[in-house]
Amino acid sequence: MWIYEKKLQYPVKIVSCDLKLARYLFTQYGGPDGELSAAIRYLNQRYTIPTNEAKALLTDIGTEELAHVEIITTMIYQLTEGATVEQLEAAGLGTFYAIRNGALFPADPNGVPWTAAYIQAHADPVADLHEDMAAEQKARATYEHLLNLAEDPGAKDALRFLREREVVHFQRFGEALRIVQEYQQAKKVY
Amino acid sequence: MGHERVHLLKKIQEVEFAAVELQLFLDTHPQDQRALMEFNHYSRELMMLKQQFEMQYGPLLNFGFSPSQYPWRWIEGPWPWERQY
Amino acid sequence: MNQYQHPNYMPAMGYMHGIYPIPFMPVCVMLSNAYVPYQYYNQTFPLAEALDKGTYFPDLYQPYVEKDKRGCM
Repeated sequence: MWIYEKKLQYPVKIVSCDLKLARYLFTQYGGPDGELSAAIRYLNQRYTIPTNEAKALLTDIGTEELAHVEIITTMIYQLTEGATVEQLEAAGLGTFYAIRNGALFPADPNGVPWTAAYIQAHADPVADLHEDMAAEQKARATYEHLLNLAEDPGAKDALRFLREREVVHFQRFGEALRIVQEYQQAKKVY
Repeated sequence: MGHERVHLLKKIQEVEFAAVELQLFLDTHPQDQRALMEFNHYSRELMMLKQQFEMQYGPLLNFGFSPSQYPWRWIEGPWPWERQY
Repeated sequence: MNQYQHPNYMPAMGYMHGIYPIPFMPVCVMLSNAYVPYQYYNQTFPLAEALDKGTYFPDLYQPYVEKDKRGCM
């Protein structure tokens, strides 16, 4: 069961009308290493992960990733809200407008729709946790690209917050892996 | 919307963020008593702040976790993704 | 490196139970295994600063320095 909390995890204060950034941000919505991929990856892996620590962690980080999807979509929505067709075209969003006007859609900046092929699961705790750690590093790198592309100070604040969350999540998945390794070691010894 | 509402909301975001961080920490450190004590402390503070917020600005949670005044206040804007939020 | 980051640091965690307490780095290191150092509860940021920075733990705060935008010459 999930409960919706009618608030953002981190305040979003967009001041400019940076439509190019709106397009780039789609990578963290419907792109391969985006927040939606992260949420679905973790919430899907939790059923077959063996340790209770990792079951809790995948549930909790998967849930937090949904809050990050909301931060990203809020930024895209606010950056594009009220833009003219000419402005959208100039920012490379003309194709998005042609298909669905101003509606949001989980796709990457090139319009390639989100696909479950971006994620994996093997019911092997070492393989799955390494996938999760890699995912956090790829998302961290993506946020750094976005920080280099962004101008809006409010958007940058939110991007810095989201990037740091990847660092923390990597640490926690690493610890979950250490716990799995300790259990495997204990099995061998006794 | 009002400055006071934004201020109270920010306070909730701050306390809840510490609780999120402690929750993830406790998932991989279930025997850390200091982290657990802090988590329980922030959990209580968060409950009080949310109650205070909800009495003035309406429910924060759906499905029975927040009571509502009349008329049904859940549908009131602004929603979190809106500029006025 | 503070005392918590020392490889031999073992925290006092109440009582021993199963695999706990887990050391900062594994006692028995094996080839073809990746190990992340196990964090110990240390300093924390004030709440407003934690939200601003994206972590409650100063030990985990690793901010990014943005690229110089002047580019190639």
